[in-house]
Amino acid sequence: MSLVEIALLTLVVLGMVPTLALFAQFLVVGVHGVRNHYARCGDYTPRVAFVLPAWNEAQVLGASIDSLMQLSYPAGAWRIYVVDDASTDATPEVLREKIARYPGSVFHLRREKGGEGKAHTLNHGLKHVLADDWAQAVMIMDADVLFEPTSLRRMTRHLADPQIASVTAYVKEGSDPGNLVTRFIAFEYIAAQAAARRAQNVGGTLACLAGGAQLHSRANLEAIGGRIDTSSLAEDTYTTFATQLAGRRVLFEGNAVVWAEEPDSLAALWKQRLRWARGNLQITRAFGRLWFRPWRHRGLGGIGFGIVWFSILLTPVLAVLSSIGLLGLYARGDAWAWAGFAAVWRITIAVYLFETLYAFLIDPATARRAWLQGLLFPGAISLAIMLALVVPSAWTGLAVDPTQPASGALRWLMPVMYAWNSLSMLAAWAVYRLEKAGLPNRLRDLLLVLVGYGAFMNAIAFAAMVAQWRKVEQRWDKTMKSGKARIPG
Amino acid sequence: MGQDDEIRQGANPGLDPPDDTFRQLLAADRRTERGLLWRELIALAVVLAALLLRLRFGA
Repeated sequence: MSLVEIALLTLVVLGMVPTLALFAQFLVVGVHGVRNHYARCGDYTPRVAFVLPAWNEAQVLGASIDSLMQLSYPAGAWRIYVVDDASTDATPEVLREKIARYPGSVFHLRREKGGEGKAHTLNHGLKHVLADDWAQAVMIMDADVLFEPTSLRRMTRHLADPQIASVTAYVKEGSDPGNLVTRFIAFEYIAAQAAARRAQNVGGTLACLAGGAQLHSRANLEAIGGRIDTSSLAEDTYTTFATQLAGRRVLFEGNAVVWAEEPDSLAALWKQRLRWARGNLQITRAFGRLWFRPWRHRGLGGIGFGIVWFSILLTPVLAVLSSIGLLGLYARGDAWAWAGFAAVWRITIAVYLFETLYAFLIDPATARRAWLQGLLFPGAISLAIMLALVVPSAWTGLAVDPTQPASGALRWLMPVMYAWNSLSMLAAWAVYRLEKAGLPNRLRDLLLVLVGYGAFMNAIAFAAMVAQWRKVEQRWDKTMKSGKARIPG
Repeated sequence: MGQDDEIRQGANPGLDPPDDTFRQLLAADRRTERGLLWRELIALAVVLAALLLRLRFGA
């Protein structure tokens, strides 16, 4: 084997790292059944201050406060502090009505200068809440999040163990009516939260406390300075890292469920996820001295954690490298081209089948609502490639010998398939641009199903890298909510 | 056990009459988590069966 072949095959193998890391994470999820924190839980119901940052949230705030007032928790042991970020809509009026309806439970904190971002708004609330000693724990949340009645109790029980600093809930997509985009997100959250965060619990290190519902002990907030970092776009991840660096543990509680309204268009989703992805790149840089250095922090510096973090962060880059490897081998007429391509996609099939089926079993209620989006997550074109590898007669139907450089009318097909992991990102970006240009939703949905939601996420991650590299100004782009979220049942 | 290892109980016992919610939720959630292990084994078995079928009958 020549050096060029080895180099190209190495690129192909590198492209498999995210898939294998995902598989490894999913394998660990089941261990949470026997290795969890429940043995150290206690019947602990501290006084909890909910801090809700609200910048023009009149459409969602009322329902959110109502859901909090339905919590199954000792009477008088929780208060709601709404930090009104100089809202110009009806937020103050909604608040006045709720304060009158729930006297002594709902409080209005007003900032005169607004729009600086969630972290600034939270800090205004935290300063107020920590100024007296009433609050024993603080719940940081989003203004649109609806809490199931038992969710708080399921979270506080972990704080009975003083080693636990923070607990985050399972944030589920709750738009009613939803659409194709929100149902893709619903399925995505099974994998990204219900599965991945349980695996992280087992490993002892959490990558991110969900900004929509993160409960902190008062001691923890004071230990990290009593405020949220304002330097990055991912303030929740920064808090998660800072907490763990201070020597305490954070946990995901998958049975504490809260509901949120997520973006229902590609444009809104792009804006939200671009902010998250840029934030994660900033975190990667801010904590650069930790990565792959377990002697600095056993969890955050651990090899496994680093591989998972970077495999997610670099997925689009690795996809491009993999395509370069495959196309390079193909262009050389190398026998390894087909072998590499088939291996990549066969492994992808196995992981896709396992991950999708297990995700359905982890959260059957969401699966009933979003089973089609779960199946179509990789995109119809990727599924067709997988099918063609499972059913060899598909090639005969296309009159293509996949092991030989293609010829004839379909000679373009093989290079496109070899490069699909990269091309799909480009196609997903095109769908986003078309939607922004006014493409009807039905056509957008059709195209999204073809290219895949996963490719869309990769395209955003790639765009975030470009934005960071070009030092594009970072702005706090709020995700607009309309009050569509409901707690089912 | 040192103070840091002690499990806290009912910070506000006077606020509400005691109930059995804590134990009920804990029991239910432990069952849910244990179930995840079995579900994972089922998912793995299905995928392995599919792979074996493909090897046995595939071209």
